[in-house]
Amino acid sequence: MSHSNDEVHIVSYGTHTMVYIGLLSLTALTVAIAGGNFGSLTLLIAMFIATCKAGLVLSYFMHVKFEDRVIQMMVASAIILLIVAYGMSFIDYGTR
Amino acid sequence: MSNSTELHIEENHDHEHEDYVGDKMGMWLFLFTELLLFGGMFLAFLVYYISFYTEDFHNAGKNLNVMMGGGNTLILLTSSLTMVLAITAIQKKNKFLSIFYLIVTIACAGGFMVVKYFEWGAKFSHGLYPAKLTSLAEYFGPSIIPSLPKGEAIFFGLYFTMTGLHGFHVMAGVAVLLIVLYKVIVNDIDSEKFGYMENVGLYWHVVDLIWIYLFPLLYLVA
Amino acid sequence: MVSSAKTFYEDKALIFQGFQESLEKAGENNKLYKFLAWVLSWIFSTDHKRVGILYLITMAAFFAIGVSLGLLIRFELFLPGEQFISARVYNSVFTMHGVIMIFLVVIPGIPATFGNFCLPLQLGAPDVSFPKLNLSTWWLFMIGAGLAVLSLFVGTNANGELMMVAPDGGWTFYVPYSLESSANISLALSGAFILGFSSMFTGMNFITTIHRMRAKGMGFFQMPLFCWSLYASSWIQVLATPVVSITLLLVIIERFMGIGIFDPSKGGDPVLYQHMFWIYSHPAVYLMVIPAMGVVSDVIAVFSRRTIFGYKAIAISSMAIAFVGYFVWAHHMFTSGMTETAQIVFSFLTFFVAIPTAIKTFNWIATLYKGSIHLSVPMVWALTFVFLFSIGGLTGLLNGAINADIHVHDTYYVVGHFHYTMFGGGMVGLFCACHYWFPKVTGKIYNESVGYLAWAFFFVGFNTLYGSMLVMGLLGMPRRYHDYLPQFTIWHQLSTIGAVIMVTGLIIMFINLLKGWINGPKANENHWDGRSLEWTHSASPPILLNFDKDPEVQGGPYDYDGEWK
Repeated sequence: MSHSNDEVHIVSYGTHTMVYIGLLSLTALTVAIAGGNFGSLTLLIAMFIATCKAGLVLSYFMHVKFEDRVIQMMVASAIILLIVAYGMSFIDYGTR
Repeated sequence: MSNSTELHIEENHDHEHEDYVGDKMGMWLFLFTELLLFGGMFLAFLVYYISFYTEDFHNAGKNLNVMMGGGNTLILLTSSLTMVLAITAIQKKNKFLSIFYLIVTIACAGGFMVVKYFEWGAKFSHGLYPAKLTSLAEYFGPSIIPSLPKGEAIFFGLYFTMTGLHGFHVMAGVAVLLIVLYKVIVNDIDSEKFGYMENVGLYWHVVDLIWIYLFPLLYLVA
Repeated sequence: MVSSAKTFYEDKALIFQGFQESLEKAGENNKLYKFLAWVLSWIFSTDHKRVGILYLITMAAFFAIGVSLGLLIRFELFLPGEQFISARVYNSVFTMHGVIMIFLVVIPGIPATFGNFCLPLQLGAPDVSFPKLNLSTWWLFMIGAGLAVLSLFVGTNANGELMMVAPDGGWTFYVPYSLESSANISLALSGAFILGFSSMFTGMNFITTIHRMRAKGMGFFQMPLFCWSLYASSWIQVLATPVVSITLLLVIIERFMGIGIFDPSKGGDPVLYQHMFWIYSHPAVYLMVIPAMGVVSDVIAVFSRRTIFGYKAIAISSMAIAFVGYFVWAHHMFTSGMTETAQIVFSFLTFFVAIPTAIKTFNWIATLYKGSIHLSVPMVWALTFVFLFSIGGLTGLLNGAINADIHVHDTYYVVGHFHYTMFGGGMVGLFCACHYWFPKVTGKIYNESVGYLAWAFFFVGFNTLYGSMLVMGLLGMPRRYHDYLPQFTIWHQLSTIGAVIMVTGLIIMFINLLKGWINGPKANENHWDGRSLEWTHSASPPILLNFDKDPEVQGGPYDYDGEWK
């Protein structure tokens, strides 16, 4: 197939390894923070770190950063939709 | 978008037309469904955790083994790395390196399930298993979940459902990774044609992505 | 157009083609083999047109079952008190009426049938992006439907003995009843779970097809509006269906393992089930009706011989309905114990859905204005859609207002309302599509006079049937009751008479279409003088890969009198 091989952006071994190291350190951080006492902030912090990790996986491992604009927009809208739906659910649960 | 049209003219009515970008788009759309499938479960978890049983969830979370959960996080992250390295290797025409990385990925997936097996086994032997599975009482004694505070019972219900569903996805991942391995070996996937491998890779990263959220929610809420 | 080329009925694209061909060879002197080969050439065909027709035929069968169950309900309610089915059986009958009509007929509805058939034709593509996946959706549909129907017959009673107990809690499967009912809920839910996959795969396929396989020169805003409506509904299929899948899965898991997620006796929250159920099931309502709006947009433009008025507004309003429709789900739950804040927010958002819907309606009317209107059968159905759906939409506003909703909640008013929207909207759109694309699918034409007659019966019957439901609902008749007070008798009887008239119309329509298909006169190549690619560039019926050479788009899909810019 003569398909878009020339367009494909090959991410180097090095970049991937750097991302991996980043992910490992964030994991260590989240475990360390869970040991400390931040009260009601714990969940927020844990979710924030998890989202950073997810962002790394999405943009590098899953290649979103180098993808077509269309696919980037699709990914963004799916995620935003999910978040808004969560928010809408908590309009009920948050006001009980 | 003109790309597909040109392709299509070239092949002139080949029924199974090849469309690299289209395949990837289809895969992403499938992944959205996976995301929302687990999204529904996370919604249930957050609702119970935030609005109903914060204290109970803390207490129940203490029963989970952070070492095993953390270990599994490492295993999954590593397998995600080897997956992308396998793709880079095939793109750089290094077939043997790619096969090596794929095997490591599959081994990691297997390792994850082994850890999961011991983790669930430990829970079962303490009588922590869904109460309606009465046939398990023979091996592990009666389930103690009905005697727990309601919030803790729900925590374990969610724990088994979410990790179970995730484990199911890991096993499905192993199956498709084995297909990729076979395709690489018989040169069905090479530096010219790796779309299938990339799409399986995307699936595998979503499995990892879900675990990235599962781990802190289940193991670290304590 | 090359008329000598083989139509897709004579040509085939199959999986297991070798097997089918050897069977066909053996069939030269064995009728059974010949028949088997013919069946295989349909059920293993990856041709989008054959898949569409497969869906059409199977859905017609399920629709017939659903209509029969509906009639059974109406006859039972002709007089107060028990007539010929017990209250228990009555519960199962209305549940299965709902499950079959919603999950097997209206939700796959137009996308699975005419979406499959026409989308690639309208885009100028040889097939959808993933033909094999497309075929697999039909198989999943059949497996899911099979499980749902099977659940009618294999229930166990409280003592664990096998007996006929169909699911009986209503099609919404609300907890906690669905957790405790002795009927075989799990089987029906597994069916619905699998049907969900069928729906998601169809959506994925359509989105990719629309993005990747448009003909040369066709931008997003040169697509026929039917494609736009399919694009919007496909996004709903992809982004909403998984939520209900996981919800139903949780109910199944709860029934087998007792994890307590939705069970209030174990600390679960039943309202959470309703939230998660309606996060899907409200967008699903738009999934039923948006494609019908697309059909109607096409039909009204073609039969007014005018460029559609406000093309972009209609296209974007489809997306707007899909988007806003995602955030209004809790208006189904005003009486279920949500907080007041949530009720107000969801009620407020609900009214926003009316805006894009009204945009469409006004644009259709503006298209008719000064058009040269041809009142052919498809056009009559399209106008019927506008009329009935307007009633459905406007009665819906009353449901969206919290205080009014509390009065009419769970009454026949709601039943009337959603039949006006889903039947008067979704299904009438499908009937419209059947009459509009009939010459394209079959190459023949039905008897138009009989078509009008069928429509007249349907229209009179429909309004009698559901109009009286609206009235008795406002008077206080609750839905789903097996018995009623004597003052409602007259309305129930009117309703039943309407049902008989309407079903007569449906039967006439069905026979008319069938006769037309078997031995109708040959239709013209572009029978309705359409301007979109399926009429201008492909034969009727089309060849296997749709176009003998790749179409290139000048002009637009509604290019009458050079009005299109």
